Amino acid sequence: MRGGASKPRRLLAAAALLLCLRGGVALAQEGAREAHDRRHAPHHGGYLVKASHLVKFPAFVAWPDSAFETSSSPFRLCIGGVDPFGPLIDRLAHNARVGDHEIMVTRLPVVTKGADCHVLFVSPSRGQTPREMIAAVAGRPVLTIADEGLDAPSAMIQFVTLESRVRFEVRGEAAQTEGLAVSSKLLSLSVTRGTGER
Amino acid sequence: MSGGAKARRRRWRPALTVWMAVTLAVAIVVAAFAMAVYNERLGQQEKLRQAEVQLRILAGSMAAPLAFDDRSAAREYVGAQSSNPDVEAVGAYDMQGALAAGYTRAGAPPPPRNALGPPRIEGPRLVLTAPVTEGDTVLGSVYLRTVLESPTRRMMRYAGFALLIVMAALLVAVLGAASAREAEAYRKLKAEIREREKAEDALRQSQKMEAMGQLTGGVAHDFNNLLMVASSGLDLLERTSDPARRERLRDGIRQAIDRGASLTQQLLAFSRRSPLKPEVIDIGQRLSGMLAILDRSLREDVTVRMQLPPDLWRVEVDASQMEVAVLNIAINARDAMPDGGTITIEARNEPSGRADGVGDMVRLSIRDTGVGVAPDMISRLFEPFFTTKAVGKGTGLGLSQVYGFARASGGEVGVDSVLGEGTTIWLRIPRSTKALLTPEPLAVRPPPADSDRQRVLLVEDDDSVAHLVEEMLRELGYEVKRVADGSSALDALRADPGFQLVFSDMVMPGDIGGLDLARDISRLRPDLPVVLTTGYSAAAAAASKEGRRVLVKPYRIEALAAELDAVLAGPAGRS
Repeated sequence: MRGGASKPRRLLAAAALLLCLRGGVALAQEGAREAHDRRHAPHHGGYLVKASHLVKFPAFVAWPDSAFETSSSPFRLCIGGVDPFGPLIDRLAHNARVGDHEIMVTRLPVVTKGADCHVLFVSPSRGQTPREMIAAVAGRPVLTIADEGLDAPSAMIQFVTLESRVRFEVRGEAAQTEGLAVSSKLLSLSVTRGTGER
Repeated sequence: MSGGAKARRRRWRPALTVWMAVTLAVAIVVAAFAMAVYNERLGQQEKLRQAEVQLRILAGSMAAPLAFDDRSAAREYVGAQSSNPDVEAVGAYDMQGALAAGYTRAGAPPPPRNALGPPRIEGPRLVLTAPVTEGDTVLGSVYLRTVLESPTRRMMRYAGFALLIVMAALLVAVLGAASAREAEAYRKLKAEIREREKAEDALRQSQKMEAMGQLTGGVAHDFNNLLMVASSGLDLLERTSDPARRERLRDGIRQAIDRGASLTQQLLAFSRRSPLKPEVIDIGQRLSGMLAILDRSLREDVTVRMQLPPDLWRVEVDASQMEVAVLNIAINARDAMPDGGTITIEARNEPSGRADGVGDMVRLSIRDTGVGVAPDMISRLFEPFFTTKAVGKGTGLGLSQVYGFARASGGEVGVDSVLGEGTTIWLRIPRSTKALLTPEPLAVRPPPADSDRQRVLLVEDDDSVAHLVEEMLRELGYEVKRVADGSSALDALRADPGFQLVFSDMVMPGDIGGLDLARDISRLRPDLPVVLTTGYSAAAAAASKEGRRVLVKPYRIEALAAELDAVLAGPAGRS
């Protein structure tokens, strides 16, 4: 699956490359581009915001040193299941860093045991249930983030939409179990399970 | 205190001049202003630090809300800044620099787009900006505008301070001016005191001159009367040959001269320069002899009692001065007893207890039964011119004479008095171990033959005195050569070794006085006797101290004869 990239994928990669070349362009242009992406992205349901959140979550989470081979080894952002972001996530990841580590986006239609990830975004998949995906990385310091509406109670973070705004629920104890430290700043923005309120 | 020390004290007197006070006041104001500026700067720095801390806390808390675009959380955190009343406006900006949440209390709202920069002061406001980061990720920025301190509040704060400082400066200035004025007044007062002292000195001098004028006037008057008697007596003596009349005239002249002599004695006593003629006396015998005089001087209602033990020690005093002293005390006692009473004159020995008899005294006390003396008067009793008697009744010199006599005799005097019971004045006179002089009757010697005439060198500067003394000496049978001063006398002695005696005045012009001459002669001719004569007490006292014989002027021819005989007999007896 990883080797056989489809045609639209290649097109997306080319677009990402093009955007990478323009990486030095001022942030002021970002807004306009995001508006453009919002109109042309394949999925609209708040995925622009979710993609943006995805690259920002690592800043509020601390991984154990053992999670990285070297100080310059990349930070792997895995998207399990169907990719809802398209090239948008690549562009955002390209502009962001986690500490000294560059963010590398890896798409995993099937999450196998031992998948090398730091963040795993769990998206709906035909082959695997969210629980299976999460179970595949269990026991390792992988920040699991589940899309909204999925049955993923063991995901450390799960998106929810409240009053047509994208919010998230943080399950700190789940992260702690895997050796991840979630910042209280992030916890303070978490909506409360059940009520949907913070 | 010396003049130098006085000047130093004056120089070191601290005096705050007006100029110094004003300088001090200005210095206080300047120092206060400098302190205020320094405080202001410190206050601003403190304010800046506080604002930076607040901004940093805000930036930290804004990280998550900005990262995840949580507007309500952002608004909540921004709104929390309103609890600080100094905060005017707060803004939180997302990654794109757009305002995500804002709060405005007063003035302009936070700018729509944030521009990061160092803290800046805009009038009374402080504007700070800071990026919002999480780890190395920049998530946005914050903006904080806070009031440094409102000008009114600052003015109010400094107004109180300024008021205090101005009051202090004013106080210093006023005190300084007052001190300067006081120093000026002090200086003026010193000048005034100096002037007054000068005036008082001048007044005292003029009073002294006036007193001397009165005294000399009075003395001149008395002497003129005496001279009148002597002069007219001599005139009449020349015109008559009746022996009885000539005798009367001679007596009159003699009396006038004696009165003159006693007058000078009184004057000298007044000046306490009376030459003492100390002689060894039996005090009991002398006092007993005074009974008649005392009875005559006192009233009938005053009884005099004498308590004189027969074994009283001898004393060496001027007998006539002692009699005057006792008389003066008795007259005071009489005046203290207007209704009569008893005066008790008592003498007794007061042994010192030492084997050699040094310190033995004879105590003479005169006690009355009069009104007594007030305690505060006692210390002044012996002051010259001090008197408790009515004007014209007393001179104030009586007890002064007593004091002078006691001191001159090497003794002391004192008063014990009880108001209403009486007064005792006592004298303590040192005992004398010398033998009593039995006065020899003046034998009128026949003039010796020319061959055994003795030669006397007379040294006298006053021609008229010299002439008379020369005559007296010739009358006594001496051969006389007169010179006018000490150096001439020494020349004469060197030229002619045939003199048997030198009779010299003491106070003379030239370098050599009588006493110096006597000393020189003692070296030149130790065997040659010298008799000195003077009317001046200080000179007489100096000579007596050296053990030299002094004949006090004025003297009578009998006294001169006795003195010279005694001197000439002395060495002859020894040799």
